[in-house]
Amino acid sequence: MHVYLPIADIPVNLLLMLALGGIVGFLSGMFGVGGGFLMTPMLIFAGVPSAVAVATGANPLIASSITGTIAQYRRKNVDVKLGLYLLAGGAAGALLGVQIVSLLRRAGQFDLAVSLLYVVFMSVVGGIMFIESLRAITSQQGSKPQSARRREQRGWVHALPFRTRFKASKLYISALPPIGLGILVGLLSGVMGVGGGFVMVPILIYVLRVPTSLAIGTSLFQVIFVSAITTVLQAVWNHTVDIALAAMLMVGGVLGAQAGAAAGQRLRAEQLRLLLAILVLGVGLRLLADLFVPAGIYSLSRGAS
Amino acid sequence: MMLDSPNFLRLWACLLPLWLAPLAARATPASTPVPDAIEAEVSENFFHIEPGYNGSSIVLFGSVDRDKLRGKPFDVAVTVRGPVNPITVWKKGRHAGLWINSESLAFEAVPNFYAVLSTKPAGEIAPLEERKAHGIGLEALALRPRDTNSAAAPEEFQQALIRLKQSSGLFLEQSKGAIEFLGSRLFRAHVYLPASAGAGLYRAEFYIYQNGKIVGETGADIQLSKVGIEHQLSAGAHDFPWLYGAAAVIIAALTGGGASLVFRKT
Repeated sequence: MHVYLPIADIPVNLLLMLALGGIVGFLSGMFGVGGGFLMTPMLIFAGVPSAVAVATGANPLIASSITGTIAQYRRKNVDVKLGLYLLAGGAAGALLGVQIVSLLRRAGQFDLAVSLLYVVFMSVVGGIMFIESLRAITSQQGSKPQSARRREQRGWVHALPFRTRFKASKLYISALPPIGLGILVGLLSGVMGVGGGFVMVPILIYVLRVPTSLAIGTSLFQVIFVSAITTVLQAVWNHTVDIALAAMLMVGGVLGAQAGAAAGQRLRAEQLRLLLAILVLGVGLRLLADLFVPAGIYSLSRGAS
Repeated sequence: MMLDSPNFLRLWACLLPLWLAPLAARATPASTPVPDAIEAEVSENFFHIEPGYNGSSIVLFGSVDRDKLRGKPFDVAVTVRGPVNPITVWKKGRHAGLWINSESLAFEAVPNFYAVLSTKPAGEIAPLEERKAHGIGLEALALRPRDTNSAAAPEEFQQALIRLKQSSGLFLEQSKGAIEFLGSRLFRAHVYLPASAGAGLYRAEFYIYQNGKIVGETGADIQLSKVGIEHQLSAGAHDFPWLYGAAAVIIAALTGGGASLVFRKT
């Protein structure tokens, strides 16, 4: 069954879009982190114009991150104050990101920029996940590897001014890194249509030394608002948010997230994480291949620049 | 409306004196315009884009008055074209191993959809120069390239544009069996308008050629418009972007919040 998308101006298969939302929701339900970074490239592979895919990708993330945040908040895993600092940066970053999209579209380099960003982030994230899960699988018989090292290190982050106390995370650090991180993630949200959890969570854990459970909850909390800001800005600046497409992805997403959360408690997470890593690397490689061996030398874009 | 043969017999009978008159008078050159030599219509003038829309089938039909053409051989060409917009063609160049859009040429007037159907290949019906005035045949289309400082020839970009449009089913040129004659006068042709052709005003043009010149022509409009929710969303996104964005956020928030309520209980 096909549904004609009013903004993308193409028909898409309803079941395919529900499944796509479902897969992304399943992954986020299982691993607690995003999955949004898979949404945009998959939409592009499915034939949705890249501008619509990016602008619409952030919209269903609002739904899934609200569901996720509520679950995490009940377990007291959200540092609201830290989340608000991240959000302040995120709003500025998203504003900048959406305008960069307009600029790149006019210059005809938007597809290239999106592909390059995805290739970089997907190989880094996929590579790290691949190594981590392999290590977890192989070291399951042995004892847990070093984790006590974390708190002792006092890097450059702790030398910055404007120190603020983040009680829930038990941190007393400068307010600048959270704001800076927020700007970076907001930029990614605007340009790539992702929530940014896959970048934010590792940085919160490894650079700001936020406890893992709080990092996931706090990241989800700020993704709600950054995605909401991105959605509104994309709607106003680029007119490329497709509500019909977002609705299909969202319905698939919330159902998938429940299934993912249930499955995550029963299945072996390491093996699934390895599969996810392979999937992420595969999508990244496919995008990389397009850059070196394009399907065609010529392409069309609407309007006269 | 159906055109059935008894009607045409009657019409033919009425026109009999007219048909005889010129025979008795003088022999005019074959390329002189012949009024009403062709009459034609499309199956439907209005198509609606609804949520389940997945392209439209347009049937074009008409009749040729062989008597007015004095029984001499003729060709029929039909074009269907729609919403004309500017389009930019990008050409990738290789930079440090990567293929990056480096040259571009904008065309001012590119129909989003263009189909030409004819009884013979367009090139055999009339010379290129003759067909350019009406844009009959893909190579006869006037796409109006902008002035460019680019070294590459505009023809190269135009050919690339046509190729890309053809491969997505938005430009087509058919001759063999494209125009089907039912008897000696009545003809029928069929054009599939893919869903990606998009809303807008389309026009079907019918031409009769004799000796490489147009001797008769007629046309019909086809309006493809978004209706109902498709129209409201599409218009809303452009006319009330803030409201539209807010609605997108609220729908997502309600979906997310609703899901946590529903699944908490189970």
